[in-house]
Amino acid sequence: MVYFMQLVVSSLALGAVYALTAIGYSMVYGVLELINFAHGTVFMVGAYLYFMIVTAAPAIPWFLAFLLAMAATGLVGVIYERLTVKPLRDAGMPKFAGLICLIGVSTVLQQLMFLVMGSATRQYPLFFEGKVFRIGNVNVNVTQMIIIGITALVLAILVFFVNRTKMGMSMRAVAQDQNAAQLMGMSVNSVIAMTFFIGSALACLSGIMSCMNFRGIDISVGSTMAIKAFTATVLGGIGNLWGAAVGAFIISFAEVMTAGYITSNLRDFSAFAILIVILLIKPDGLFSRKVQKKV
Amino acid sequence: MKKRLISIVLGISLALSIAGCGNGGDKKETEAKKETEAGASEKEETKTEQEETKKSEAGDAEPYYVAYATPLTGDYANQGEEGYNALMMAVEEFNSAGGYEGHTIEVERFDDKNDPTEAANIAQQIVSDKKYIAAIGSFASGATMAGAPIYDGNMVQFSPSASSMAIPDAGSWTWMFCPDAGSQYRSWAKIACEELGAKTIGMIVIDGDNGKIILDTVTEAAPEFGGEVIASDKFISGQTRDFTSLLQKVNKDNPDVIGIFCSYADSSAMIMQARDLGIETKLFLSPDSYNQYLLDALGDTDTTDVYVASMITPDTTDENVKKFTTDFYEKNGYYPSLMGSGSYECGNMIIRIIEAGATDRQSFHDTLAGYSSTEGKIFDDQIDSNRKVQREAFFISEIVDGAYRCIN
Repeated sequence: MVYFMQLVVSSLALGAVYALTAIGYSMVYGVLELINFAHGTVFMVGAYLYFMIVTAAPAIPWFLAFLLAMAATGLVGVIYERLTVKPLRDAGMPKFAGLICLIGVSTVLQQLMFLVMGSATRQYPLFFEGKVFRIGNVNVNVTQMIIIGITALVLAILVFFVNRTKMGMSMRAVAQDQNAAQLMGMSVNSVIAMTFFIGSALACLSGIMSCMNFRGIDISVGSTMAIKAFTATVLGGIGNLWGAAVGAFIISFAEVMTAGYITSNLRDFSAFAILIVILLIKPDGLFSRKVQKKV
Repeated sequence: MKKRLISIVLGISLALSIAGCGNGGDKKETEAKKETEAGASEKEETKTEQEETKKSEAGDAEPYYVAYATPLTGDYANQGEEGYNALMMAVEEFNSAGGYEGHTIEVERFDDKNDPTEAANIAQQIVSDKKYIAAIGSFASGATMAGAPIYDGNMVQFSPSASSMAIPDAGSWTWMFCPDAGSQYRSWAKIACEELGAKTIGMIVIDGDNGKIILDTVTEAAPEFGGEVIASDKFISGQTRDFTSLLQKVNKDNPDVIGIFCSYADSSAMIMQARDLGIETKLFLSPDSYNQYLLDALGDTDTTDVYVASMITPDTTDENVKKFTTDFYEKNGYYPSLMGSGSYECGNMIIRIIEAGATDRQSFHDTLAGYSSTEGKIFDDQIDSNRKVQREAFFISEIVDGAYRCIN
């Protein structure tokens, strides 16, 4: 039982990181119906930005460095959206052009970070030194607790933001019908920019949490995360924030329990097998809703 | 009319005179050219004679060419660079002492990118060029084995660091200057049991042929030294950064030591995650992780009860090992690893063979085949019938204050 509970704690921490990344994917898709293939790279960029701030200016308090990194990464998201996705949207190009463009953005960002930071793996700074608490007979370290807590908080804030604020309402309106939203006087470009800002900031947050949990950073941290988070998004129903979070925890539980009870090299197999089974039963994901569209 | 006629005649005369001069000029030019060429030829012959005289006077005869085919770009470029620097230590010492009967050694580098296809192409290129007397390379087993069939029967190939047990079967003109995986991991098991007092061992390996060899070798060898492998698991490198469940699974029955057999990037993460989980078990890493990058990745992590195996270390009482690592450090600013020591010993063996008078490919091979030990400057290893060195030396270091400290 103790062993099982230990694995549960690992699953929750891993799932929390996947959830933060998956929510970012869902938000952009919800507004633009576009899968942001640069999201995994932005995850890595955000994690590195925090690393660089803390390393270059250790006198800055960690929470300030944390907020600066999120803001800077959000800005990166807005910049690449304005420079690449917006011109294609304005030109009326089909969505796959945006998709390909984002793949290019991902490659460019990755190469830029490689030039700046190199390929070596580095130790990642923690908010608090890795204290280990004992809850019953189960060891839980402070980083895991922070990750789970922050994810729950961020999810609650986002749900409130999307459902109860004016900007959130604008985002839902643009997601429903861009043209109608524009006709109603909303600035669609501003809403999309805000979506990319929030999505990128979330990627930064999950990058920082992930690197703290796994204790290291290098250029490739985003790529494996991106695949899993995207899988979680699809599993939960792309465009649905709650679905993305639930999908993330399903994936993480499948992985960790497979690794803990069978073997570690089958963890991906189990995660994707579950995805296939669920999509065969519910092709639009667990929490997809039927949406009526007038033709 | 008259004027026109005069103009025409003048024009023709002019044309004829120019043509005549040109021919004449050409002829003169040709003759002059011939004279010049003859003169130049004489001068060149004189120059060549002078050069040869000069060479024979100074002892600078035609050098012996050695090909060094390793990764110079890509993820393992640092290994190729380290190996080259170590090889050149041996070569420069030989050349500065006058070489052999005036012949020095020239090393030419080839970049195989640690890619088997590239390694095979380069092997073809080297073998086709008659000037090369021997080849050293590659860094890893895949690229080494790709070149081995091409060198087979044509030219000796020295492998400075590849450890696959399949290398001798890949080519009969390939010599391994690194103990094979079976030998290395038997030594690992011995040290884990005898130096660290391990009665029970947990093992984490990378999924693949090499991981299987490691697991099988340690499982088979451990009982001989009073130990037993009680838990193991494999993982796919690059699949995830989350090793918590893997570590918990292998640590479930509380082994005395957990062996970690992967690169420094994954092993450093495992060390930190293990300690974050409250796993206090001794962690003993394979030689793959023994490098400066591991220390950098660990940073200020508490490395109590973390040990790393290696086949070379500066922190040793062995005088030959100490001298080599110190000299290398003074020249290059960092300590060498297995690739450096292997390349250095390959260079020393090439020098030994040349000094024995074997200066063509066939006699080079035959001379080497007659040696039963390396008589190297770092190690004096036995060479077995499969052209592999046998070496007992295996070091274990703990990490103290961000540096390796040898404890055996």
